[in-house]
Amino acid sequence: MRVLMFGWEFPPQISGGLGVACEGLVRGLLQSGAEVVLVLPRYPHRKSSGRLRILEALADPADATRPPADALHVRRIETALRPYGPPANAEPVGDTATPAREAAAALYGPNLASEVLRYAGRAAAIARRERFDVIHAHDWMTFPAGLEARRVSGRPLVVHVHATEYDRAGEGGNPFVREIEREGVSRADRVIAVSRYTANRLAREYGVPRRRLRVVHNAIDGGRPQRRGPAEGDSPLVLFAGRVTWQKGPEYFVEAAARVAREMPEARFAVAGSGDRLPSLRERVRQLGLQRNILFTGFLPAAELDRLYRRADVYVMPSFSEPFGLTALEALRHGTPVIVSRGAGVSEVVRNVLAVDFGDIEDLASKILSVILFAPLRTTLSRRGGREVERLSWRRSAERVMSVYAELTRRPEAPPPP
Amino acid sequence: MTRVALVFAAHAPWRLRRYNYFDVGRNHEYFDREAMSRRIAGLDAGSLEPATALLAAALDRHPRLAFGLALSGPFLDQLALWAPARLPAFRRLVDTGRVEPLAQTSHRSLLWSSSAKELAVQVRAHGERLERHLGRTPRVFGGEDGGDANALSAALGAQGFFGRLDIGADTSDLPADPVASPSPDRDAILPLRVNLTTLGRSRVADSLAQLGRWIDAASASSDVRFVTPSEAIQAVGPEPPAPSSRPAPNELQRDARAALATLQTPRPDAEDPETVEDYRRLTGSDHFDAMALPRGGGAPATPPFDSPYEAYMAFRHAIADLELRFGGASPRRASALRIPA
Repeated sequence: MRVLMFGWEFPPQISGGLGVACEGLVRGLLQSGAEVVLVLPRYPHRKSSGRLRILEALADPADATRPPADALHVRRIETALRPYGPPANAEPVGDTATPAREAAAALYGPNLASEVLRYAGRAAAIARRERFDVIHAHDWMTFPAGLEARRVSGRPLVVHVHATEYDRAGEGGNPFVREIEREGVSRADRVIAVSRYTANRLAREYGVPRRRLRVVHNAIDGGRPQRRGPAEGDSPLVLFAGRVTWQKGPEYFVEAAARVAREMPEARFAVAGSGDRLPSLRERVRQLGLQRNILFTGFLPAAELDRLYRRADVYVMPSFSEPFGLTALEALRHGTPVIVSRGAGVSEVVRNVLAVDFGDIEDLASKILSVILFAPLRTTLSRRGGREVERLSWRRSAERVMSVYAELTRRPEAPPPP
Repeated sequence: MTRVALVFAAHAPWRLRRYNYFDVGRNHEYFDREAMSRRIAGLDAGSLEPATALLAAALDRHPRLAFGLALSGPFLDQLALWAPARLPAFRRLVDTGRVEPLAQTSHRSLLWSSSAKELAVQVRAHGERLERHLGRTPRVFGGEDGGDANALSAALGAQGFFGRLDIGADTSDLPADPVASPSPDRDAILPLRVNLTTLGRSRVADSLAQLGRWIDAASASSDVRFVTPSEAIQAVGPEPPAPSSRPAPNELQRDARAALATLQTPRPDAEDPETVEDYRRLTGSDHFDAMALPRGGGAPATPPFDSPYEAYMAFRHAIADLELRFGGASPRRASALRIPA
């Protein structure tokens, strides 16, 4: 199976779960015997390895490729688009956040709308040149490229939805992004959702028929959970890791932290990540007088984040809407108990987590305190959650994706001989 | 001749509500009374009313029909609270002299959680409840997994009980033909336990009508003899206490037990009766069953909880509040709740 894949993020250039998921899936596909040509806007790193080749669509800033005239039936709006929340020109949030700001700027450019359309324009040329059986496009930024590649090649298109504009912004999302998203999921031959939660959303919001929807859960590789836990005498540590955007509910984390700190003044909280809500969040922490309790680490490289997971007593993901929530799997892999918003996609694959209703600060604070106070709860969540995560693998998820490809590329049966 | 020991059983748990950390020391209501009253009302209309009517009619029609009634303490208490009109219907069954109520612990307690003395108190309390509601003092203990067989035997012996009847699990289907049902030993007793609270629930007309037809057929046959629990024990001799059928407790259940055990058994003379009653309700086995962690990683939900973890947290917080009410805990909730790793 030869796959022409359109992505936007790929390690080491990532700003969130999309890049991690894209890499995991590519690795799984390669293990399953697929050949992958991965098209990224820019990728100043090693570009081929075995059956994987990486092409840069927008490496040349002077590239004059015009956006396709007919690939999209959407209005073109010049606007500061936010791929996953923070605009590239987010205000500085402290020294540690600078790399993240730069990463986001490098990935998403000053004007994402024209980048997305320029990328789609290059997709046609690439699709004419390359040999492939199926096209796979990750999230709205690459949907126009996927549609364009299908137009010139006639090959089937699979779009993969990691998050919708509704998850990112609720009712107040960007109409341009919504329109691209609607166009992509409506015209694709198959739509892969990262959870049943997301599949339901696509059916409800965009009217995607169930017969074209498939659910393939994200996964994680990496073997047995590592031993973790605070050392004797350490203060309890509660961790939030992710984009500091409206979608991820960081405000609720801080409000719950205030409730917890009133009961347990020695408790510490870490916010690992950056995003447009960071300045207001810092201000709220000052108002609450929690500067000594809450640490803002900024965006952390994987190894440093792993150290935090191992050290934390509990990991909290209080998202408004969580299509999947890969960081919950990362926390569980380190044996860290997890509290997620009820209904988060990740709870479809791991059940040994605690759930809270979005915005229920008292319940969230109560559960944080319970995990800290009740050692048997902590160890049971850690052990059983860790075991659940061990059973997941990107190879298995990739095999599900391969079967979706097979639905589209299977040759019609030869007519019986006369 | 097949001797059939038919027992109708009913239980309704005290359901914990989502009792959280911040309720501790502020709110002493641990139970979801609204959900429980709704459930009892539904149970009464759907199962209890038609079932007691059917049994009363069958006792009228068949003079040889006899059976046992294993009604739990929590069930009777909830009936008295939310469907009191049904109690006389049960009493009329017992008044025939052919329906024998069985003794249990007053709160469906797991008996490890309390002393032998507390066990004796609970068994006596349920006896008094049966006397009050049904007009009859029980002589045989049954219909409940005793947990600690030795403690149970000692308590039953001390209170002059006639014996303990192991009536096993609920029968999902009655034998189609009671006369033809296998009876390997002519002296053996065929124990049949029918759950009154599921009867008429799923296939309403079906299951009730089937029960009626079954009783008619069995009563008409000269090869079948119904025996009460006392007669069953007389016939086969007292049974040794059966070992508990419960799986070994998991870490959450062990901790919950330990937390309960650290509370002093309340002294009714010294404590407020409501506090003592709440303590006993928290000893109920249902709370521990809701903390069961199944194999394979799944987590079944016991309403209103999403998972065994939720059940555990609500229980631990309730115990912490009870500790405050007993006056034994430090004023700071966090220090009262902290357990060493």
